[in-house]
Amino acid sequence: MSLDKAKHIAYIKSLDEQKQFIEYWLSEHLRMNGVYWGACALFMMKAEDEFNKADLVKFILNCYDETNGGFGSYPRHDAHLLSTLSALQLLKMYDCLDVIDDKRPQILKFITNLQLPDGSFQGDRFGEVDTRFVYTAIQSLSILESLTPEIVDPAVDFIIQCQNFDGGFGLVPGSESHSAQIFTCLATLAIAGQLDKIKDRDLLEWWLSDRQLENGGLNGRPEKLEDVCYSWWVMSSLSILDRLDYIDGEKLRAFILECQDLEQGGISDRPGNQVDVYHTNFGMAGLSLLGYEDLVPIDPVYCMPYVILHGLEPHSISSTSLVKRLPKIFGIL
Amino acid sequence: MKIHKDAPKITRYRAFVDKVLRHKQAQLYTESAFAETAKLLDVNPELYTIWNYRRDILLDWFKPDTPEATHELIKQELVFTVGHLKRFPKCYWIWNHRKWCLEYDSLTNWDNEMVLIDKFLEADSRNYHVWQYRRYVIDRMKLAQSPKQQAQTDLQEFEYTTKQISKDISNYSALHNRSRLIKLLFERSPECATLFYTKNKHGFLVEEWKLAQNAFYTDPDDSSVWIYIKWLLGDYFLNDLTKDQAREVVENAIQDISKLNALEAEESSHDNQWCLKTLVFLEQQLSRVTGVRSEKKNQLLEKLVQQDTIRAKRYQDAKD
Amino acid sequence: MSATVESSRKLSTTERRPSMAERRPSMPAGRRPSVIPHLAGIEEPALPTTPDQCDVLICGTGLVESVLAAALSWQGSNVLHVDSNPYYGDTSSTLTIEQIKAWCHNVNINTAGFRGYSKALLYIPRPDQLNSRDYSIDLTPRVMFARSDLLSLLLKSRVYRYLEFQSLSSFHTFENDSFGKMSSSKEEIFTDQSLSLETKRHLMKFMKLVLESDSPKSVKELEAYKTTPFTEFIEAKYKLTPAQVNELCFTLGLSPIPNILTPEGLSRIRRYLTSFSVYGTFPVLYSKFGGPGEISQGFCRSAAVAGATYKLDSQLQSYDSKKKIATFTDGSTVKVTERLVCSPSQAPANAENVPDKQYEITRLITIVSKSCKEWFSEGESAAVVVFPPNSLPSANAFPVQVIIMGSGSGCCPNGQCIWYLSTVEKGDKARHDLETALLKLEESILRESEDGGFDVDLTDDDVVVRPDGNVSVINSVKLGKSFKEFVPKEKLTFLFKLMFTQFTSVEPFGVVNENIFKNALNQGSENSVDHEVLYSNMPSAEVSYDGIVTEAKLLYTSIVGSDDDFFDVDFEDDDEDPLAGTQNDSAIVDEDDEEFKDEMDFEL
Repeated sequence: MSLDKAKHIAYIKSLDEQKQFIEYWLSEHLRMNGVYWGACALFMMKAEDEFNKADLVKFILNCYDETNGGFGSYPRHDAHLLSTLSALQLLKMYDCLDVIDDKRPQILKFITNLQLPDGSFQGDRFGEVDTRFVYTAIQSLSILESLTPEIVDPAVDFIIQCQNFDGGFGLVPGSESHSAQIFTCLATLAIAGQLDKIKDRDLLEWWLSDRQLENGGLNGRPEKLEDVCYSWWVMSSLSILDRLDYIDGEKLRAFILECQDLEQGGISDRPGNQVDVYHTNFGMAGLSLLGYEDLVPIDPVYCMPYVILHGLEPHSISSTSLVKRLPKIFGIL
Repeated sequence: MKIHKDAPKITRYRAFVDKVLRHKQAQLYTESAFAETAKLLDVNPELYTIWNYRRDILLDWFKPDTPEATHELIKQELVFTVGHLKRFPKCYWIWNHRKWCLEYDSLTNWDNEMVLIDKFLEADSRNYHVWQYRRYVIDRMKLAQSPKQQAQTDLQEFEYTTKQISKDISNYSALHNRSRLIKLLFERSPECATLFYTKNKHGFLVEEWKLAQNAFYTDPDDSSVWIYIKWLLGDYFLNDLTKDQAREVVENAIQDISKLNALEAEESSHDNQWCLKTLVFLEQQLSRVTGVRSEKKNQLLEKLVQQDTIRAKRYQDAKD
Repeated sequence: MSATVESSRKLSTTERRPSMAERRPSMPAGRRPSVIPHLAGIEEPALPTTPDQCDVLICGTGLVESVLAAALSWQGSNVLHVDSNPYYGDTSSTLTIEQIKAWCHNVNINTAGFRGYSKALLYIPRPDQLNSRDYSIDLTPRVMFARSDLLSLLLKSRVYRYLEFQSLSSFHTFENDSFGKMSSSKEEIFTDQSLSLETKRHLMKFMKLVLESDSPKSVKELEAYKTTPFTEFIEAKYKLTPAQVNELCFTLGLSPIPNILTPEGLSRIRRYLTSFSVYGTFPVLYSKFGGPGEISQGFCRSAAVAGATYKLDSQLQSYDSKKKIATFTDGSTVKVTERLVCSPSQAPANAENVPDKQYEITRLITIVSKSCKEWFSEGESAAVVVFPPNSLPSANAFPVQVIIMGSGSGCCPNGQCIWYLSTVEKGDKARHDLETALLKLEESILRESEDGGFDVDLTDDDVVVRPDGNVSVINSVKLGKSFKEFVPKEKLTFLFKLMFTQFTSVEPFGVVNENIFKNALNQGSENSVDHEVLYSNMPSAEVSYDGIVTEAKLLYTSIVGSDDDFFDVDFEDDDEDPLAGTQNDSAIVDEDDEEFKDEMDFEL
């Protein structure tokens, strides 16, 4: 079996044609992220032009929240770090960050104001703290080339506190290790150029490689079911640690491909389930990291095409050395 | 077919969302506007913008009020979120809203929160959000407690993890919390020391090993307990033991696990991979304690390379 | 009809339990109507006249017949459902003490409508102490596995809304003159300190095999054991003790007969294990206020909503298969366009084609003046007790199965308890086995409820602390010894004792075989009063509800041709739009859908 790109491209394109279905309208709160997932998948398939760039920019600008200074997930929705990062990633990928030049100061203020004294970030002004938000804030600032040690160092301190007895990271200090949170923490450390701060690296690497189950799929926590999205969360983490070969890539690939809907396109969480754009993107991103299916290589830290970030193909550069180079590229420190 | 059915729904839904967002924009903080947010969130609890609006209304209502009046408002809001959590127990926004409410309430009955948490964990003992919320509530409760009471609370929480693990030895969430609490309890000030195994790590380890042993005999394929064992026989404990104690503990563990592996191999004609993986780790710990390098570790790793092929590279790398 | 019967009939008409429709009206006060039409009631079932015509006439409102009536009605058939009694339930009914008295009388004089039973012995030492209507006594008590076809059907048909379910998690086994409780869940095996580590491993392996027994790999492996006795299979392969094997077979598996084969044993234990933790940490449920009687009524109500007509107090007299006319004893007639289905118990007086009743079930029902809470798990009011073969001094060849219902089940007053004992042994031996088991139950409950009753030296090793913190004594050998020497300080007061024999054509394995119906249809002379009457079966010996839906489906198939559209009704209204009423501010969410979950458990 192989990746049916034509079907997946058609599937992603069809997503915006679902307006006559109620489900489309019930997912406004995720629209910005959804567009980013779709775009990212298209980029990996070299089909990014299937999205109309002008419409895209118009949509993003319509989602700008004047009151708060960030982007919401849909026009008139409140700004949140999650949708702000997706908006910035989209602009970065489509090379049109300049359209927000006039808003940069407000956006920067929106993000930096959300940092709390302990280095963590809240997602918006209502106080929810999560390592996801540290990552979204730090990557957003990195895309805007506005990271400073005053912001990064406390954030790193906070991340380090989130490491657990098993080597993994959780949502806040004290919470259970979870593959997706591990990714946000490692990627934050990678952007900060401070991966050396990780303790018990061995433990972490083994914990991550134990996520692969007999059927090839990966789970997010011990004794949980496999899910295609962990093809990204676990594999990006292993990639950042330069340990992509600690699982069986071929088996994972077979599992992801089995989750394709070969009629309508798209990828689901598990074989036979309903597809969605989230799993389509992260399944594909997993395949890209592993170098399968002739996909455009994806960056394990930023989850955007490598070439967009670094202007060159990774060739023989291992992901660790790549990660070490990142801070310089983004001009921090 | 569905398109026909959906069309009127979409019109109604969009009109309603539009109305609520207009009210939000106009900073309309009335009872009826508030009721409309409830209606909308009943339909779609993921609309974080509407939760935000709800909070803005509440903040407006809190302003001139006494703590008692605020408490009453929040009590109603808590009832509202419970209804939603029952339907969507894994929705970030709802849990977050509940926390937000409690932060504004100086008269919270935290015991009620614990009852709620117990119910949710009964229903899904690994719900990440609920465990997270439990730790939050416990931390809030501890704020008002003396150091001794705090130690008591931690001890109760430790016992709660025992209960959860007894119910389901695969409950990794409980094992995770247990590891945290053990650390907290050992690191308590001396006045609270007697509460927890008289601060004797060796004594604790011997007891805890029995639990682990029962667990891996009950289900040797369950990864949770094996990961826990790596911590239990890791540096955190061994560093505080005498050299002889440490060696004895590790050697006994090696013996127990080898015995189980033999029993498994006898019936299924292959090793149990979790036994092997843990033995690798224990051989490593033994070498560290005794200073003597053993060939066993590499032999075990070679077996794993052969048997657990999907992780072969990892085992290769681990060889001395 | 003799005068005595007449009077006892009368008595049971005036004296009855509140019907389910009265207890749970279809439209509770203050509750707004749901988007989904509520299942209405059968509040007025007794029609003054019989309709002229129907598609299907069903005689007897037992559980199988009621499920069938509902299924046919929802499929669109015009159903007339009658019962010769003035109450619902027929062979599955739930009765008051007075109703039981009348029932016994009718059984013993072999009244039409009470066929299929014999030798009902009733003993009520202090009649003045029993307030008849405080009791709900099941003629055929059953428990429901959490994962079962009937429970799925109850949910799908929404009949569950009329009922209230309670959990049952205590399964006791009598061995060595004492009661033991087996570690059957992963949790219990993990915490059971009486098991050696190796036994734990073997038990867990066996449990795993059971749970995976329908995987293609296991099916292939198990093929070799198709005809191997189950006990032989587990003793050899899993090194379990005979006592453990007994518990697996008879207590968890609830097998009513010894010497079952491996596939049957596995499927029975699998039923238990897969039911465990579906709604909480218990494997079975039972309906409050009475078992099959309540559930039958529920399906009758559902049938009524779908258009079935109900008539009680109607005994079939004959059926003219040529003219397709059924005549009742009151002289009324009805034309049956499709089929007449009849419960064997309600067969016409001169029936010739009633299925053979070669199997016997002997039942002993007692009410004791003791709460018996010692046998229940915390927060529960019922338990199952099993005496495996050869565990009684009477050398019982078959197990004796006991369902215990405490006052919390809504079936008896506080401080009392109903014990339902049954066995598939035949004749006097059956009665002797049941009496012997009763004696053991009595000794046990006196022993366990008496303070300071332990004269044995128990060490820490003999005692298990269960996960819920309760201490249970597990060294049954030591206890057994003390049991033999135990002299109770008090005696147990029996308030009620009823023994009777029930016949059935269903072999004691609980699964109805379609041949039964084929044979039934082909039998009988054309001139008989019941030619071409399709007989259902008397209840099986199975103490769970398994087999009920299967039988109803088989009957359904023989009427409709296939069971493809058996309860093919979708009450989920997908047109339901929560915002449909927003303009006029009516309620927008139908919380009824959550109702079952909330009642069952805090389900997420």
